[in-house]
Amino acid sequence: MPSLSRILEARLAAASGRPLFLGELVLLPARSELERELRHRADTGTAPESLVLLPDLPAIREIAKNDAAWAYRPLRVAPGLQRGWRTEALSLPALIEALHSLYPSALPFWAVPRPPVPFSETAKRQSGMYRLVQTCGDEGAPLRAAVEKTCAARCLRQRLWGPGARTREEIERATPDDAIPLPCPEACNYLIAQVREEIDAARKQ
Amino acid sequence: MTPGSCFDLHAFRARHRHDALVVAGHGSTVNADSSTPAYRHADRIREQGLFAEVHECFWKEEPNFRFILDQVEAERIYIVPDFISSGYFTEEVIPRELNLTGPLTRRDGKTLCYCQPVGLHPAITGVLLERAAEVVHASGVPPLPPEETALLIVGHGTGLNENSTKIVREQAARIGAMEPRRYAAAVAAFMEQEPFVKDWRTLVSQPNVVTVPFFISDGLHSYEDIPVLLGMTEDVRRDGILNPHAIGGRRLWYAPALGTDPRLADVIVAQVAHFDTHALALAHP
Repeated sequence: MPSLSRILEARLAAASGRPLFLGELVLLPARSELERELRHRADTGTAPESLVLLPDLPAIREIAKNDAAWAYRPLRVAPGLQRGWRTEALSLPALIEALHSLYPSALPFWAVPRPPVPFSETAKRQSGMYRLVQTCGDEGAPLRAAVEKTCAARCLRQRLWGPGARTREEIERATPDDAIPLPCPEACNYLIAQVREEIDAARKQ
Repeated sequence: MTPGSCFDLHAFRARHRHDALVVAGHGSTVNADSSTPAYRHADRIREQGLFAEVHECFWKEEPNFRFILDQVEAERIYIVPDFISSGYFTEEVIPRELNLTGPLTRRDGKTLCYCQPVGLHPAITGVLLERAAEVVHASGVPPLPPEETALLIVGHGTGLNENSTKIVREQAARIGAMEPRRYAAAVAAFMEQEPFVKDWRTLVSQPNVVTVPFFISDGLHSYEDIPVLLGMTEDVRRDGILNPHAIGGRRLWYAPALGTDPRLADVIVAQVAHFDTHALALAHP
């Protein structure tokens, strides 16, 4: 299997110098074919001098940490990424580091697909305070509620698991030619915490 | 001793130039500052060019422990928990989420080297002492006479993980036994178990008290809970720490959480070197 770098390199080459989109990000062509500048997709056509230049990885990471109202974004792939910034032209390794930082796990979930994991399997390995989520199976009401409030409402990833899941093929078909899809193969820890809260809330009612 | 000085950095860089480092921290879904130290340490190691790749992962933030190895391209991967002690996360959660079978796991052409948590490295004692000295220096006060000064090392303390209290006690004992003496007394105190930090006035008798929270990041405990228990009156989040404090006729200095010290990056690197010397040496005698 080619490495993540080689897969992204091939995807950039296939874009033939056109912008490539990933969630709310755009990877804009830069000086050379394999260099890309990152921006918010809504700033694709904005004059560079109107945007704040993020000079390094810590600055890029920081922009994803809070939304425009300075509220913390524990889900980094949530809608609401700040606008008004751009990176320098990034070489492939720097581009990959920046993308890992802005949209954690997005590249490997796309380029190095892991098989979807049913929620009950994810729940089975939980321990401590999260063991409780083992009680809601693959279709339980707490899971449905958490998925509705978190995955559907607050995350741009598209689920390959759980209620209302789509297949990888369906997600790829629905992704425009100029975009990289954002598949989600397994429940993240944030969602697991939300499921636990739903179970807790139901018990208190 | 600085952590980075205990081995040859050039040789280290040459040895690890194709390897990856993964710094594994706790993170938070509500506190944006919780993961900051882990990121800063990773950035510092990145700047030094010691590894081909440096990654961060978290229990409560993305990227999650579970998925981090998917984004690592190197064949040999060192995982260092950015945790202050061993316990539930380092012994159960991280190995489970990363499918580790022990200190050394070989899988799918990869070698996964699971190092000790940062807080367990002997070099942490040096960082703690330098932290304590710097907080006094930064307040504009000349170095304190050891015979009139106590060091108070504050841990969380909980019945759930004895290791987290053990490591604080060990640090206090190690510093207390140093010759020449750096402090007249080096004492461990805890928020939620005896000896309680709120009792510091009776735990130590010296006129000068330097306090270092043995925590991996700043947050509710180091910004709010411990200052209140010590009798500090400023709002640390808003005003910063206003050292020295005059409390009950004594002077008290308070440091930021130990885990925020930039030298922790060197300790992370030192844990990799420690792994090479001990675990890898055992695997390839």
